Amino acid sequence: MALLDTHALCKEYRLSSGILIRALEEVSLAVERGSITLLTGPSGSGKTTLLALLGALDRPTRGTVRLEGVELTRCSDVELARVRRRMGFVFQDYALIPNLTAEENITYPLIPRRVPPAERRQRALELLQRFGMENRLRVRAGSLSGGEQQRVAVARALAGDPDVLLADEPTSSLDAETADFVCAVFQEFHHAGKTAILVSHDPRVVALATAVYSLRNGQLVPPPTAAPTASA
Amino acid sequence: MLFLDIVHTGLASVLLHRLRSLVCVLALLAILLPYLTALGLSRGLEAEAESSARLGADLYVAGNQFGRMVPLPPDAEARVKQLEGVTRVVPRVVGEVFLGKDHQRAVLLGLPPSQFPAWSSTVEGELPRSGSVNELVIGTTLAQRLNLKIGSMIPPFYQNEQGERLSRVVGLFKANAPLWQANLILTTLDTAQAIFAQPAGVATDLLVWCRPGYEEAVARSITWLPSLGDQTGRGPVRFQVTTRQDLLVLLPQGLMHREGLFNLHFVLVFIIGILVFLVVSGLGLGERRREIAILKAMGWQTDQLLLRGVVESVALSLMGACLAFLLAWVWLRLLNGYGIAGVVLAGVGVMPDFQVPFRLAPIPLLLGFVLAFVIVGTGTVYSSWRAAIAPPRDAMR
Repeated sequence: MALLDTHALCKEYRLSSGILIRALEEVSLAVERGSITLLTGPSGSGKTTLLALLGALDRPTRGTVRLEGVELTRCSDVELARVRRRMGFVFQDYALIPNLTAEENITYPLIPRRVPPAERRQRALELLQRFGMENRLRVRAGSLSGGEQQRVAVARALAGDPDVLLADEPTSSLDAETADFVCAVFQEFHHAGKTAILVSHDPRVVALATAVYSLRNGQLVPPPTAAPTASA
Repeated sequence: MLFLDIVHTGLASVLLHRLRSLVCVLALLAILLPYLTALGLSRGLEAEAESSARLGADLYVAGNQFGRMVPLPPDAEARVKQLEGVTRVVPRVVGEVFLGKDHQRAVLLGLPPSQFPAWSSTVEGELPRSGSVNELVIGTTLAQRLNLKIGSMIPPFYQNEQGERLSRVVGLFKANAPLWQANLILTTLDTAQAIFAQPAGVATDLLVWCRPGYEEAVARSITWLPSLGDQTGRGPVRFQVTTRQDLLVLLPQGLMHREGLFNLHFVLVFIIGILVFLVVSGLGLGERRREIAILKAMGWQTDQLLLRGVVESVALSLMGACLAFLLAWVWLRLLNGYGIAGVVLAGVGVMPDFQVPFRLAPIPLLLGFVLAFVIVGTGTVYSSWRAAIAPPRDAMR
């Protein structure tokens, strides 16, 4: 059984002008446990929307999303929160809380996971050390550079030891060296038997994928293909 | 542990959004400070009135004719004195006079000189005596407004058939004297009778002290006394008795009426406050909405986010209420109710020239905190709830 699967997934938005936008149409896919699934496609094709639906960050207009066979569209607010605690997100715009420090941005998501304070701080320190940012521990996220913010965002996603990592353009603001390092971290994550769903145009990230789904105008094209360089 | 961790993040969020927190506390101060200050003044007045009533006479006897209060004829004092249980009867004359070109209103009180020693501690200068010149002790507010000092002469401020006399200020009430003395003129009984053109022996009322336990019986006996003949020939004057208990019941009624009006005003301010707060809480609303959405995306539940919002609201409310309480104390104690005393106390100017009575009790503080929480909670928890129930991606847009 696939870890995550969607069936005839649709997402529509109505603009303030009244125009209906179909962001996703009839998307059916399966994400296998332990895979690195890549979502590709041009801008506006619906990759970020699909990632949000897979991560229970949004509700579909029609269709279903299932995690281990449990339909997320039927889950309560509390159940969805539990689902999100099994996931780690890296948003395209990093989505850090600007007034919190880098450390706090990493430790706050650990609070509902009931991680003790000392362990929270320890995890944040270790992750920031891994990303070469231990000297930025107490710096407000709003004061960090784009690259630094992206590294904190990746660290935050990994802090909760998630089963699934969902990352939207996780290397877009990183220099080549750091991007390589982040890819190595994803590889390590994958080797631990965990699942990652990535949206990226970065060849280094693309090279990691074990499955690729292409989107165009909100639809999957062509059917899923096996990645040329499965690196598991 | 989880609860405490969330509480901690709620407290931290007060500092996280400093501008918003500052605006919230300032808005709370604008609403709560005048309320707590005026309530403190009102409670102080009530306490002083009660204290005066408790230290006063057991019974207050006045005349009643056609259902209206009238002066008591000269033989009233003797009739009351002879009743069993009565230990002391003091006649007094109380009336309103107007002084100066601006017609400053004052209460003139005439007492037999034998009663004056009880007043000596509150008077600076001398106590009045009977003589060819009216000797007066003047209240602080009056003295300041009319620029009167000890030794000042006051030209005749009344007219009657026996002719008018000059008056001399022989004493001033001290600034720490009770509020009631701010606009008071104290003089001898016969001087007061002369000023109000009353024959000797006439009193507006009698203060009656009784042996312990005799108060009710004496009050009953006084009401059963035969009516007195009126010197004007308009008919009999009946005795009307007010007991200390009556007074204690009546005094707060008057004060509560004032307090009630103030509370009504406050309710209006409160309603406006909520509206203002909804606008104020919009300060950084987008940022707040996004923050909640991020936390929700990271696994926070709606109830945990609401708890965080409630803790933040409680912290802000507590800060606002405590600060308002502290500033109310400063306003009343150190600034002597500058500005607000004139609003609550009739006839008092912007800067009272006597120590204003006040009592800042814990109940108004608690009430202030509850009101503050309702106001802040309306602005904070509601917006947090709206953001928390939306799908995170929607709220992050």
